[in-house]
Amino acid sequence: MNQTYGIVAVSAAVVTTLVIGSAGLRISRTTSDFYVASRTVPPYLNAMAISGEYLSAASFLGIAGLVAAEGVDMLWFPVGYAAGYLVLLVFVAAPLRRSGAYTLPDFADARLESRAARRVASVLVVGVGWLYLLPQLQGAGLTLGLVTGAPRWLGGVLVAVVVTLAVAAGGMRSITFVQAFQYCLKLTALLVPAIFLVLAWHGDPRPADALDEPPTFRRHTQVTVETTVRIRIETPLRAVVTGAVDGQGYDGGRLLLDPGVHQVRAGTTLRFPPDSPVPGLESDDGRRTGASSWAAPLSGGKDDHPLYTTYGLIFATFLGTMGLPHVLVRFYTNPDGRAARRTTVIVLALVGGFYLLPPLYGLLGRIYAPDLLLTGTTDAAVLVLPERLVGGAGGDLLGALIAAGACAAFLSTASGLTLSVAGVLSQDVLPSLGVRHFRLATLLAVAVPVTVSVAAGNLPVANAVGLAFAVAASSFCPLLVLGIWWRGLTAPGAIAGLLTGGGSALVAVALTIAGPLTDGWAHTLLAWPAVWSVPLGFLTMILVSLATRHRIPAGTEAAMARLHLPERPAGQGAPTTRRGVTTS
Amino acid sequence: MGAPGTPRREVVTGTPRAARVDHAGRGSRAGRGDARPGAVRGSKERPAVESLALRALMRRQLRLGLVAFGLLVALLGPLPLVFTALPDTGARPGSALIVWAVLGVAVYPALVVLGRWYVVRAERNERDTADLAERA
Amino acid sequence: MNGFALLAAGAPLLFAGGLAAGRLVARRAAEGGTDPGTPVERATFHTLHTASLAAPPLRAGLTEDAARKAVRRLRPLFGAAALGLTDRDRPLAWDGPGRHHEDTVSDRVRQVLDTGRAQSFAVGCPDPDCPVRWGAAVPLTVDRRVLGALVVLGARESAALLRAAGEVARWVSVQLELAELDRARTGLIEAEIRALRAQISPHFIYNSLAAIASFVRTDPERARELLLEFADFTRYSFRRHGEFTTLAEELRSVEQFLELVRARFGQRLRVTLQIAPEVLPVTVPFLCLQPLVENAVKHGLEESVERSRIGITALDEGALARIVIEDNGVGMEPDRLRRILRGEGSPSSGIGLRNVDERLRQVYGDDHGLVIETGVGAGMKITIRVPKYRPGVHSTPPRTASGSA
Repeated sequence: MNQTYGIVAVSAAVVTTLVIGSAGLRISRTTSDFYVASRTVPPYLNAMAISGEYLSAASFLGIAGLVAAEGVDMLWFPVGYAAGYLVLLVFVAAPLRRSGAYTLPDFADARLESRAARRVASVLVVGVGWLYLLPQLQGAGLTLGLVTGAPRWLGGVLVAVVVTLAVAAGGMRSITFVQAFQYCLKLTALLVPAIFLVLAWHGDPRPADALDEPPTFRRHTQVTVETTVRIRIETPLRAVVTGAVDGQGYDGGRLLLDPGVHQVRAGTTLRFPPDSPVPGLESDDGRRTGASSWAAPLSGGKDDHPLYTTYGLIFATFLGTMGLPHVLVRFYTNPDGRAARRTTVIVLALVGGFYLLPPLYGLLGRIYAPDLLLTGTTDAAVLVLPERLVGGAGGDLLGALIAAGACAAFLSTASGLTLSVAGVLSQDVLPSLGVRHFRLATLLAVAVPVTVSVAAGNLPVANAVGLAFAVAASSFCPLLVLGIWWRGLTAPGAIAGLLTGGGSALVAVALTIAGPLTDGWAHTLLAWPAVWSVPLGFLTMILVSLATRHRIPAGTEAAMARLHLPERPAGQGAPTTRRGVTTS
Repeated sequence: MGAPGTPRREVVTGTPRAARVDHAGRGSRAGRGDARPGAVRGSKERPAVESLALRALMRRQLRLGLVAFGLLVALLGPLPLVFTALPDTGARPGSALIVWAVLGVAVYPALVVLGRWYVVRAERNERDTADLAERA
Repeated sequence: MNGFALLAAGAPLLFAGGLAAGRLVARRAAEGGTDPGTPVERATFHTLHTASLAAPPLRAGLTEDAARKAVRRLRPLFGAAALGLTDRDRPLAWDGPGRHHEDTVSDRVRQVLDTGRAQSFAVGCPDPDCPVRWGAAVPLTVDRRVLGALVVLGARESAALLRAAGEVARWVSVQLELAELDRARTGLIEAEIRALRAQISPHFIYNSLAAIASFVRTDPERARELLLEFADFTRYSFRRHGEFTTLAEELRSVEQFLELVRARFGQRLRVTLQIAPEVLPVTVPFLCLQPLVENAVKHGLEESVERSRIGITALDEGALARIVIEDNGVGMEPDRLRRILRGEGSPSSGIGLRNVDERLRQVYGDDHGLVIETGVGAGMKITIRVPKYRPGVHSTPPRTASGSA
């Protein structure tokens, strides 16, 4: 990959973001265009902003990588990411906007009139936000590492610094335009190269069947593994080796690898002849992991009970989207509940349209970049494909475009998350600091995930996106759905449900990552908690509310009217009599 | 503004309400925003008609939401089961193609259509309630 | 590794916390029924509970509806035959038998209302089954005004009953006093808004109409435009409902205001507007910007001859919206401004500033008052920080079936 192009593209993305962020206000100097300046954001623009904020590195790079490594099952990820908005639309969108709440704690406060419920929701928001920030920083590390050759941790730190500066210095004065731009950039960065890639694929004299199992190297391919890996070989395989295989050193020697499992030490370079099958990757504990990818919540469990894990994934993503803090704050920009609904449908279309592309990259990645399967960095598939398929200066340019898109992906999600986490921190968790200490809160909001991401190194923090979705689904989904549709919800019920639902999901995944269980049903259940933790959250909330029926908030009836009755048409008090006339 | 030579500005704020002598019987609740101005009037009981209209609207909207959600579940829920029941890709390459077509492409337009349908119905419900309220 | 160890340790804690919270709450719910307590405790609890049930209706003031609910809830306290509440003119509510003694009772009540003293009296009844033989009437007083009376009827004369009636009457009086305070407070907010409206009217209306008149011949189209602006502006400013509005609507009103000002001053006024669109739906107190803009206009134009620049900026700051209004006018001496904000200035100047400051502090707390940077000849910069959400602050009161027009 041409590093100059890459660096230029990434810098351009960052600079454009900052410029739009600081100058993207609607400015008017004559009173005649006051009207334009004071017009609320139309649904399509807000939908673009929401989509821009939502499509993270996991969507941009992760899905393609997963599909390349694991195949068609992984298509459930984008489907779930998109379908979550339908659930949000039918149960939450309009009433949430009408509640006037800006954040999830605000909603708990508005509906339950309880400071305690507000505080619990705040802590969970910060938790979910941090979990979601981790993979963004890791994605940044991967991309920048690939583009510039910098070490992995540096990318994450760099993004954190940029985001902190932009947010804390008030650089993001108008985030809607920034995020809408980011969506366009991301879509372009995948769409334009995709056209060229498909053309190149079509023009390939021998387009391999993508569904071949296992995939094969198409030409002489040299692979350097960064970490020590174990590979499984099904048929005898010839390779030229520089480094160490099975504890024996080679220096450019030919080697015939027998069927079975072999260990390849870090730094070893293997050169395979054309048409040889790609060896599979074997993880340390004997489970076959296709790739360590951030979009794969606990990929290890997949082989145990694929049906259950698929449903676990569906539960978490369908119900978790409504609990993502950075998504919900964007709904406040809508002028009313009706606009919130329309915005959500447009988001469905925009996000769905985007998700048509990553699987295509996954497919092509399996054919043209099979060496990534061996090194385990399939997440890079999107980034390397133009170079492999198109090549030359054109390939470099397309690669740079994709790098800029990836940069936009983690910048937009990271800045959105940082803003909402910092907002909650400054308002609810550290209220003693006062409202003016937003900058300190921003620093804290970024510092924690950066520290964990640097300290954790190669640990599977990648699973955090799935964890974030599962925690959000088991805590905030019951709170929102019951809060909006059930008059019987009480503050003690909501608190108990938030803690048991969200808490148990957190425990489950924490146990899977750090814990002793590696396979069997217990492991699978813990790795995919949403299937049982969401009902648990609902049940706790309902039962405790029923037990504390006398604590139903006094304002419930009024709150329900506010949530569900349509607003008066805007400006009813002052209908516009004149518009669009210029003076002076 | 801010040009050299302009006289200096000083920051002025009003006196905190807490520190002020309370001459109008107010200010007793003037802590850090624990006043809920709406609560004073919000405690009034709503007319029965309106409460009925609200309940009816909520029921209709909830039913609509559940129908839309049910359709989503009915469309996507059984898919994993169906896919496991499909013949092995090795034997019938066509079945993999079906999975790709359904999960990779067909799902998204279906989601948008379902969402659009929901929005139209939900807005109609709200209009009906508003009309009803106006006639009452 | 640390992060995950932390997670692993923290998650069970959360889980246990959730369970504990649930059980604690459930136990608290059960307490009412299981622990009987001593008879005294029980009696105290019973009395307090009854009183707390009767309080909310009374907080709406002495109306028929409130009196009916309160009487029904208070009667068990006496164990008396009947309990009634009256206001100055007529009986409001009656609970229990003895309606046929209304004439006797109303005579006595009139005396109580006139004298302001409690009375007990015997009730003669020809019906041998009538449980009413004796009665007492106690005045309800707020600020030494007698608002009404509480009437107890019983089977026999009882000093304890009379004393209880006195205590309950006093308690009801306190509730009524609180109700008046509530009303006074809402009234005060409305009065403050009214004061603002009153302040807008005379000068501004005269000047605007004069300016419009000057265009009628030379530029009738412009005059028509301005009249429509004027109509929109006054309709907004004098609207009846709501203590709050959205920033978008408030800015629209400012736009109309400035358009009318420009009709008078033309090119001498330059206005720059910088708005982050995501703060437009933010709920703000009704008429919180217009007085500040008017103030800027006054400092810039009416008190100086040079060109005046006014900047209005609204920015997104996470959970807050920051609104800045800056002018390059004559500014103000900081000490004089301080006095104005304390309410010690001359009544003619700066009522708008003080009024907005007051209302912001009242609604959002002291952290959210006006922050003004100024000096003599240094212009003025006013900053407001409005939280995007605050409990009870809603721009649109929910549409009501009766009040949708």
